[in-house]
Amino acid sequence: MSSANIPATQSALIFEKYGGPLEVRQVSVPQPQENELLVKIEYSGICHSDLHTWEGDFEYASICPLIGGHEGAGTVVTIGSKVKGWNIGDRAGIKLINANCLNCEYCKTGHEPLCDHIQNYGIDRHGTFQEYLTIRDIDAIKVSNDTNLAAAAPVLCGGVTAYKSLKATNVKPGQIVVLTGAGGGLGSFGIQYAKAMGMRVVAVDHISKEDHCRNLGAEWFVDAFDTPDIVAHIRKLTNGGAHGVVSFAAAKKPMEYALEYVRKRGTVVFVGLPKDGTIPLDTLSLICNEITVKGSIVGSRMDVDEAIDFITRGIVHVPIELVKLEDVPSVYQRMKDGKVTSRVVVDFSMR
Amino acid sequence: MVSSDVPKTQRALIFESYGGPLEIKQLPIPQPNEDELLVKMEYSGICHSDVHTWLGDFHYVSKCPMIGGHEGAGSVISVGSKVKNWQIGDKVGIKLVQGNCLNCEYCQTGHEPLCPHVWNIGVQKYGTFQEYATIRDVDAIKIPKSMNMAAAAPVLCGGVTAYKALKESEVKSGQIVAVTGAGGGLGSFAIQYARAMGMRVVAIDHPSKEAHCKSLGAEWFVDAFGTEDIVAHIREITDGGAHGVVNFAAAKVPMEKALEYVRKRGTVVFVGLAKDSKILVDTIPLIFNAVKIKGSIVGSRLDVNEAMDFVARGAVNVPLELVKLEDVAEVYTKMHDGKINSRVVVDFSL
Repeated sequence: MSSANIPATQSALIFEKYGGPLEVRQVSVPQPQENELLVKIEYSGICHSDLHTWEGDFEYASICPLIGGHEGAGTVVTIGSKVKGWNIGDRAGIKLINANCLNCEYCKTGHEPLCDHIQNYGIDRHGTFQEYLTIRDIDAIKVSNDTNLAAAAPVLCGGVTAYKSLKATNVKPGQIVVLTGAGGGLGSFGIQYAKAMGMRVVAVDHISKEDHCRNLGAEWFVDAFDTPDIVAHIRKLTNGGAHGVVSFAAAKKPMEYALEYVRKRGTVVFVGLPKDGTIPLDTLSLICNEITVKGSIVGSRMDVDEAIDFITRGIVHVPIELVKLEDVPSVYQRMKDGKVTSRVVVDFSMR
Repeated sequence: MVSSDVPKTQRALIFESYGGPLEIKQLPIPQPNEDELLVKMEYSGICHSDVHTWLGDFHYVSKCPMIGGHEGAGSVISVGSKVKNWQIGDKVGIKLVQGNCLNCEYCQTGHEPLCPHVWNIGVQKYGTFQEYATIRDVDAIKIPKSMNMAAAAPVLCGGVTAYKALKESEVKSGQIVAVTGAGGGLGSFAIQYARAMGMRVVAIDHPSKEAHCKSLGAEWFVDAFGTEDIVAHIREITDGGAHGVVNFAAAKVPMEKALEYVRKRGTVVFVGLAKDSKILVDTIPLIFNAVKIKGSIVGSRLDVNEAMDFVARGAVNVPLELVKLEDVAEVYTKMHDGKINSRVVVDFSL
């Protein structure tokens, strides 16, 4: 069944070559399969990884031409014939990962991002920078009517990535977590979720982000570039090292330092993807201090549900800047310049 | 109170310079403090780390001259005035880690090896290659009377190290763990403990260790040196990678390879202390595959109790070779040459 007023064409932001022009064009509205929903996108978050995709950093996995975006939130306007559990008018979230096979050991244990068969919106499938998009019913995230839809959109990738990585640290309420790249898109969510989860936060970033980080709830701020001996400094202010570290900063040096200032038996979680990610690891100190190093990537559907619930309850807030679809190129530039101090969300009603 | 027949001197195996002669000398018997036990040593395991200590590989923390050994099992013959819960004649184990402060966050949470105040028997304090040793009462491990003491001794370091590392791997029963250096002292224990814990074992070592590893319970054996593409091979036999890897091999290449053949969401546990300990980690696949790397070192008193129980119940058996105290130097050479296929234990009655 369908809502009555679906147009034949829609606006979509598309690029035809990596790093090439980002143009808003009229393209056909896709038709949902029998097990899919057609969602009218109302908001879409803009992620740093959208920028990387456009620049071709994931060319080994992405398609081109491509419509980017992978944090969509909107309303169901068409339901495929075999869809159950959804109604016209329901609010739906569209996240990065979809089409997991449901059958492998990772799908069966709720670790869908690790399924070998997944597709990624905005990377190997046209994403949420378009007005209408199809999604398999079980991939769609139900968003309650009580949730601010603009605030929900960036949780679908950035928020859940931060939330899941904090869980991976095993840091308990009352303990200290260090976040690198704390003032960026992921880090901002990281600070808010950490606070909501009862953790005490050391925010590490460029000095221009200090106020922002403290506003979000960081108990301590450390200048990532101008602190003479950042390892000794963090060990001192945490009285022996952080119980956990989440490295959102996409660079090698913060990753290497994290291994030095994490506490004995602490956990360092790598999330930020540097271009060259190979770092030296001293296994002697890793063994003698019983340190754990983990990788973490996005989260499962359950993780998304949990992360959105914090937003719905109002205990996680990250400042949102609303922009037009046409503004995405200038947002990418500001991201590259480190000038984005919040989450930027495309509002499709702004034309 | 004191047992009646404690002699004034004892035999001890001592070296006076790193890599220098290992000589048996007559030394005074130490006197226990009011919170200590005096233990008559009956057996002591011999660990690869004893060789490293003697060679000076830990010179930045160890003392010299030194009596080595850190896996002692014996009987209580003297109890300090403030000691409770110990009697003359009790069976007692002496493990590597001693003197933890009981008060820091690591002691309070049962991670005693991480206490900044610990010292190590056979490294910074005279160890178990002597006929009598003193030990603080709370550091001493109670060994059940029914237990084979010779089998108990090597659990105190090698056994518990292997057991604790397997727990850290988070591999569940029915899942696959790969063990590197599987035919060595630690690896042999690990195969047996892994089996007792319900894990399926891929043993990786030199082909001369194949029969030994399989007899201990390894389901698969992989030649560490002659296998063409060891990563692809292990991924194939495990249908996607091992759920966990415990790395006892003290070398860089097996550590780096483990990160490639561990399954998505799997855990690689580093235990073996390589001389050149820096490896390169590519964080990109670590992140995309949600892989975990952990360090693990010995275990707590509770870990020792658990590890000991597996042996006492007969669920874990590792072949023992009994030798004289005088034979330790020769055992070190065989260890260095990779010729040890079991645990070697000093029997002080020989």
